[in-house]
Amino acid sequence: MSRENKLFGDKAFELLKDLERSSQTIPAFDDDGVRQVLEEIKAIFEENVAQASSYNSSGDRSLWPLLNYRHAALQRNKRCLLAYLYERSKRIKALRWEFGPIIPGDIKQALCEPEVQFFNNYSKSLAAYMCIAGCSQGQGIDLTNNLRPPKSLYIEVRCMEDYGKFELDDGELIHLKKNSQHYLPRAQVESLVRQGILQHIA
Amino acid sequence: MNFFPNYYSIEDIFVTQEKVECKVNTKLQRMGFLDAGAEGDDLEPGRSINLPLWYIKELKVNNAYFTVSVPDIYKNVHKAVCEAETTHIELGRLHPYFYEFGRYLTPYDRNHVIGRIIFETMRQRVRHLLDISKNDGQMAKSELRLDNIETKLHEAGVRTNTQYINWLQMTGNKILISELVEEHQKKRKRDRSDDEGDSLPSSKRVTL
Amino acid sequence: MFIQDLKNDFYRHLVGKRILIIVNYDIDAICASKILQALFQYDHMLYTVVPIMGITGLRRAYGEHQGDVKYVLLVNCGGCVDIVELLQPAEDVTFFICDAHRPLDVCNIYSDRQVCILGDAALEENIPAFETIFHDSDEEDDDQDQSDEEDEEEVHNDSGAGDSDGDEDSAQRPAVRPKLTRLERHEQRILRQRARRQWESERDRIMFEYTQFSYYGRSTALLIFELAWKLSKDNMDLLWWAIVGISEQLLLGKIESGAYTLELEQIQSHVSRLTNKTNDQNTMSASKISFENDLHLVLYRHWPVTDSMRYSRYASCQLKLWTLRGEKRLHELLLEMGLPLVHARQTYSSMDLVLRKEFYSMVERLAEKYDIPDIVYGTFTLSYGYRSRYAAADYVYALLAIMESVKKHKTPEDCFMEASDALNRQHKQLLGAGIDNAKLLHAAIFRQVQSSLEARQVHSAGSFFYYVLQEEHAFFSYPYALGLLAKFILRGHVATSRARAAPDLPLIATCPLDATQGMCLLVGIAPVREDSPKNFFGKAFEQAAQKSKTTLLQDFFEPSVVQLRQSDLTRFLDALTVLLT
Repeated sequence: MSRENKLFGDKAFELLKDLERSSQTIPAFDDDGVRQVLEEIKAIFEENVAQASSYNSSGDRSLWPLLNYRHAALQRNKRCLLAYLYERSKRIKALRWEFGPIIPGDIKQALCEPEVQFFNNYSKSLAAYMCIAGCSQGQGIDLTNNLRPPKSLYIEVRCMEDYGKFELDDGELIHLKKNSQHYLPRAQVESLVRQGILQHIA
Repeated sequence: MNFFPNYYSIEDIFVTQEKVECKVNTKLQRMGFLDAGAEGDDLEPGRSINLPLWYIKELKVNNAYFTVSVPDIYKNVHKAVCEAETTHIELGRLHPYFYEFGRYLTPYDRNHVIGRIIFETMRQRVRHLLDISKNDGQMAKSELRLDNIETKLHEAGVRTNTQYINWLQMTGNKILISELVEEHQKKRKRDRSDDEGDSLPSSKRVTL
Repeated sequence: MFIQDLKNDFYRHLVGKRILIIVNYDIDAICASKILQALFQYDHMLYTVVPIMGITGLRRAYGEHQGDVKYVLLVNCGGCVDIVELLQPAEDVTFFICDAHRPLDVCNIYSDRQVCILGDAALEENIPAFETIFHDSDEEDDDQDQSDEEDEEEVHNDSGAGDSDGDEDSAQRPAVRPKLTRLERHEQRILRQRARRQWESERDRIMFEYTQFSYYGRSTALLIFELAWKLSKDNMDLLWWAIVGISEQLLLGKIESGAYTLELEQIQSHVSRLTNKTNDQNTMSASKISFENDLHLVLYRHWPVTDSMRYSRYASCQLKLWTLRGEKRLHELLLEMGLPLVHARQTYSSMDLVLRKEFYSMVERLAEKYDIPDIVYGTFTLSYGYRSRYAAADYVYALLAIMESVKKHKTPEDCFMEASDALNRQHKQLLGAGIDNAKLLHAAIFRQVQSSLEARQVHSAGSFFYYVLQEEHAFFSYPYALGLLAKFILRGHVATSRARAAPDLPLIATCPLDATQGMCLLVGIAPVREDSPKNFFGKAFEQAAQKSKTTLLQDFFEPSVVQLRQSDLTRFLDALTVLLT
């Protein structure tokens, strides 16, 4: 093992640091970093196996501390890597609640293929659960709605960007155009407010 | 916030990445790579080297290879603790993870003071933390004074405080834009204005 | 057609429907739309509010929303243009117009269903009778080709009827023809043509008289407030908005002070009724509207007295405060009032309480002596909490400043929204910022007036004055600010001018809009001596543009504010000079 990489685990730590630095959004999945960590794990493992087998044959305990250190490093790498994936999955779950079932393209690009899969499955599970949750009422409950207790059935909203036509439950078509102001049923526009297309004015 | 760090806790990983000064007790074969000043392949006894916490915590406290030396920062704080004047210490400058780091080092401290120090420090400072949480917006300048846990506590305090005020003023049930979306929009706007530079046409004209 | 019974024919008719509210870019309109929104919210009626500026904006806004809505409400816009002609709406769309602009377009007035004007026909002045301006389609028959040309100039063009007449015509003609000799027929035709021409010239005269002056009717906000009152849904906030609406009309000189005074009485009765209705009048924190005599001094509650005096058009021009002598006179006045300079120079709110209480009476007492009798006027103040006390005029100036605070990343629409937010009591900080902006604006106006008068930049073209700002200006490139500046300058110029005719001459002020597009903004201001706010510039601009063959953008609903190409300006002014002499 070369001297530059003397302490091990630095690469894996970098991954987490990157993730932590952008605490709000998801940075692009660091394919390269993850591969390098995996390689490091593999290298450590192979070296340890080689030395452990030589210990088995010779019984020389002088390398034990080194074996020990390497093993700790290997565990460390593993922990960092798993934490990296876990944290990302947590953020992906949050995306579903904040952005709704469709996430913006540039965020989607930051995800790797399995993560996209994960998002879709999570979204499906959530939808399925929401269907069951309100079964007694027939329709199911949209759990992403009404995150705060509603005070009124209708709210005053201001349109922040050109959205186009928006259809209400009763078939009424509303043209949401930037800088227009509307009075609409709260339940139906809450998600648009959450997505920043409308602004609730109170 | 995590007071009981789990395996996936990023914060705990950050803490355990910190380095601790250790003295080498015996000759350790082929571990010279840990010592930047070493000449041979092996680690010589008597040298002091910095080892990451994640390794040290795998070792027994009284292991034969290394002796952990407790950082000075805790000794300095000790005096302040005795004088009950901890609120003015810039903990964040001393160590960004003052409490958690200290917690890991407790077993290695032969005098058994670290445990008491971090407990006392927190006890004395938490009241002050509560006070400054009540007035938000003044955080920027005193950022260095708080360590990681304290910063988080402070953030939580400010947040709760605003929520409480909102509730009192009955403005709590306004639907807000989701934080993630807002962040995303800001980023997009930044990107866009970077692209366009300042060549934006003056759209201020009466074109309603 | 006019709708007089707003409660039954307008509001009840709309309950449960979705409605599109198109709001013009002025304070009266904003206030009216706020009141309307409050009403619609009570009844859970879905609505959409779109702010617009000018006719292009109106057409665009309607174009975007057409198809989705069946009811369109136009607030302070659209009354003076033929809505059906302009927007080409589908048959089932109904327009309600509440517009303070006058004269109303005759086609809107005589529309039988699609266009409804909210208001009382009896209050309108000299609307031409139907027969005098619309002709029966039978008369068109003979001189089809001739009338075709003329039709284009006519306000009314019933194209559908014209076509069917043509068919009828050809069927009837053979039957009539043999009975008349060629000569007789010819004579008859000439006679008919003459009668027709006579009628047309008469119609043109009537139409010209009707549309010659542009002026303003009753405040829309007040009209809508009365609807709220009749629906028993009025409250303090709505009333305050109505007051702000009518105050704007007064302060911007849209209505005569006489008309304003007439309305005051009615508003006062609303105020006392609503004050008695609310029970919490004892607590200081409740909002309270009170009527009082106040001073025509800009924002004086938020400024030092000296500044406010200097920056107020009326006081400043009467005392000529931009001159050294004027300054002396101001000091004399303050001395006689017994107001120490130390106090006069600090913000009103930090003045001694005793002085503050006596300030009004001190000024009033000396008003005659210093030739500023009109400085006193009746107005309303709103107070809530212990510290907030605003005069209606404060609101008007603050909102004006907000509406024209367009910046690079702040579109006019944003400003409109901000202004409408500032009317809510929850957004006090917006109003505060608006007041600060207004101070900047008025200070800038005063400085501009001072330097322009000193440099003698107001020129006379014989029958009118003109004043040309050479460069784009952060404040004056907007219609209202330019209007305020122009009024100040005209008054100031008249006050210093020795010419006897000066008070009878109007002023035209112009300021470049956008250097890159080479457009400039032009406003026409009525003469100082003229008390009636009727403004003939709309028509005059139109004719001058025709004569000088310049393209004029009469897009604003205020016809006396126009845009034109910078390079055409001289030619246009020349034509105007010829026209007005």
